[in-house]
Amino acid sequence: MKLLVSAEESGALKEIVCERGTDTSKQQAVQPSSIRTVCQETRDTRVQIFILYEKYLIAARKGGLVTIYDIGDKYTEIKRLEGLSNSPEDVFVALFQLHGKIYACTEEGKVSIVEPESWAVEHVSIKGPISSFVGDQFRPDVFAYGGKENDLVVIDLATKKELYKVKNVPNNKLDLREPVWISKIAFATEKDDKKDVYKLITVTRYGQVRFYDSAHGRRPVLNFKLSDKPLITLAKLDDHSIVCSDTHTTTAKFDFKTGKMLGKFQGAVGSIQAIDVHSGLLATGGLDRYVRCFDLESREVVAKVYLGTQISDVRVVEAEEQEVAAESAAEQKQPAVEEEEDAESSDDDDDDEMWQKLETTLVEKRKRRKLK
Amino acid sequence: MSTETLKSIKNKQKRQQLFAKLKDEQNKKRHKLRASRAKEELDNPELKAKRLEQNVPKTIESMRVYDESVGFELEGEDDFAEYFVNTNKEPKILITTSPHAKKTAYKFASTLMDIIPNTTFVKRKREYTMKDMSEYCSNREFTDLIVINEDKKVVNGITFIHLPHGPTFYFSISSLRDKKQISGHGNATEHIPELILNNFTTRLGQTVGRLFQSLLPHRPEIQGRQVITLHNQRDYIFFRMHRYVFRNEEKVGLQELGPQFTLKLRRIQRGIREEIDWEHRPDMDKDKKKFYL
Repeated sequence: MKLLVSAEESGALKEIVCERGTDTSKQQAVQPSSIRTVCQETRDTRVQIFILYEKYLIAARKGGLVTIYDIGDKYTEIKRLEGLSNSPEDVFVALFQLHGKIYACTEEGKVSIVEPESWAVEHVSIKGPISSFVGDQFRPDVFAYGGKENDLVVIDLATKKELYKVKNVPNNKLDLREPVWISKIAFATEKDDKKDVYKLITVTRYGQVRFYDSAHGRRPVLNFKLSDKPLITLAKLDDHSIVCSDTHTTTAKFDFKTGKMLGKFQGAVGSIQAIDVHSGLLATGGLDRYVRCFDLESREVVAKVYLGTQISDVRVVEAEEQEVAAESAAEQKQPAVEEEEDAESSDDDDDDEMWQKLETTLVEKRKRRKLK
Repeated sequence: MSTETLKSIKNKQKRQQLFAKLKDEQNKKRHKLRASRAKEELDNPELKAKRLEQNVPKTIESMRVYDESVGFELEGEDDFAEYFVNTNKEPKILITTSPHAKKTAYKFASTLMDIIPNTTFVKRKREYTMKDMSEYCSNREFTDLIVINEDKKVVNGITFIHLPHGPTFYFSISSLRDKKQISGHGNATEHIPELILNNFTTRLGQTVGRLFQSLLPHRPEIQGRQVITLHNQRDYIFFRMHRYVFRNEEKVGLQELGPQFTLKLRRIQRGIREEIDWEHRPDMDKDKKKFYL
């Protein structure tokens, strides 16, 4: 499989080619066949989010920079777009492609729409602070955003008309207002839904997951507290399950229809900053400087690679094994196994001698069993 | 007499008597062997070198679980980079305690102030959180904030916040001994001490090492002959402070200045107490041969 990871401390991207079973923490395990540092810049212009679009790699960097690279062997820079943020401290919260356009959004609410190939930029501003900005893949121009004390809004970006504005959940039993801090949003609309029905999932910094359906009013249809810790990432798997990670070490699969945890993805020591789901694989990267790949069904670690820098974003480029790489790795693996066998057989020789000296039928039986 | 025959003796007193005798014989034998070996090796130092080379004891450290980040070169910059790049800017530190602190916390604060140059102590006020204090400190150009934690009149923890953007470190403190409890101790002078960081090998260890480095001014005053040692062994960090004395051209003596304490890393958070970078979990102690620093 091939992974791309953004290194926070060096401002670079890293390309990792590895196969299933890779684990850099074990010397005997399979090691990644290559780790390459590309698109190197400094920490001041580190990559915050990046996406792969057709033959381009688009990276949103700190300081309102968006750089576009050609996904070839060299990752040559094609274009550099500047001034996509309001201030130097402003951070990108979203970068995605939808309906042939690329959208970038910053925390302060500056949305940039980039036309691919010509790389012309258009700006729209929405009300900040924003933690998440997403688009509906079935309906053009329908977007949703939210953030700290900025509850979920669905808008038509072309006309800037509010299509659906949610209402905060009722006050708690002490009649105190529930604070709002959306961290991630995902559209859950189906293709055959009515045109004016919006279904969304949000996770919050207060640990809740909420499911909104505009056909059922402005308050969330489902609202569950999943964790005491702030949830910071979200990936939708199917019509009822999501993967979330918090600011501590938990990454888990949840059922947002029942609020139950379906299972944890174990191993992380630091907070997971980014997750990516790609054909049955879940890639995670975070502050513990490891990129891990999990099997979504069995939740077992498929690959684990140490990178040396903290990770801000991760993408699975190819999930399949590359045959050539697999073969060469198998060749590498072969001699190691043989060596082990050698070591065992030499031990066996010594044992054999000892047993031969004793020469009892019982011992012979035991020996035969051992050799099997 | 072997242990087999010893076991067959049913009288406990007799058995113990015989066992003591056996043990004594063994000891005598061993001492004799050692004495003769020492004599041999005194004449022929090569033998001793050879024996020491062949007979390397297995320790937990030498059997340490493989860690790929040992010796991994630092990549890029971290939040401490400014200290190492801008060598004209000296660190400026604020020390405070946990709210409602008792005498021990203040005493420890004053010893820390003696050790670390350019520090200010401010009495903790209940109404300010760590975040508030960090903000006020950053506005006043402090580079680090140290908060001493005290519980039931025992200093049990210490937080280091590197300003202005973090990270935050929390260590637990144990085995704290004041300098007065150390026999033959000296008194520290006002000179800027040197710093020895021992055995911080992994990437995490390097981060911790960089934290301690960034607490002290860049150039130590070596005429003070004072050294702070932070020795990491099995993830426990031992703090010691000494003065070295040149007895003659060959011999160097040490005088301990105190205090002594042991730190253990519990948590590193990014920013001012935000996302967890690393946290000690009890199940990490299961594998005795796995070390993180």
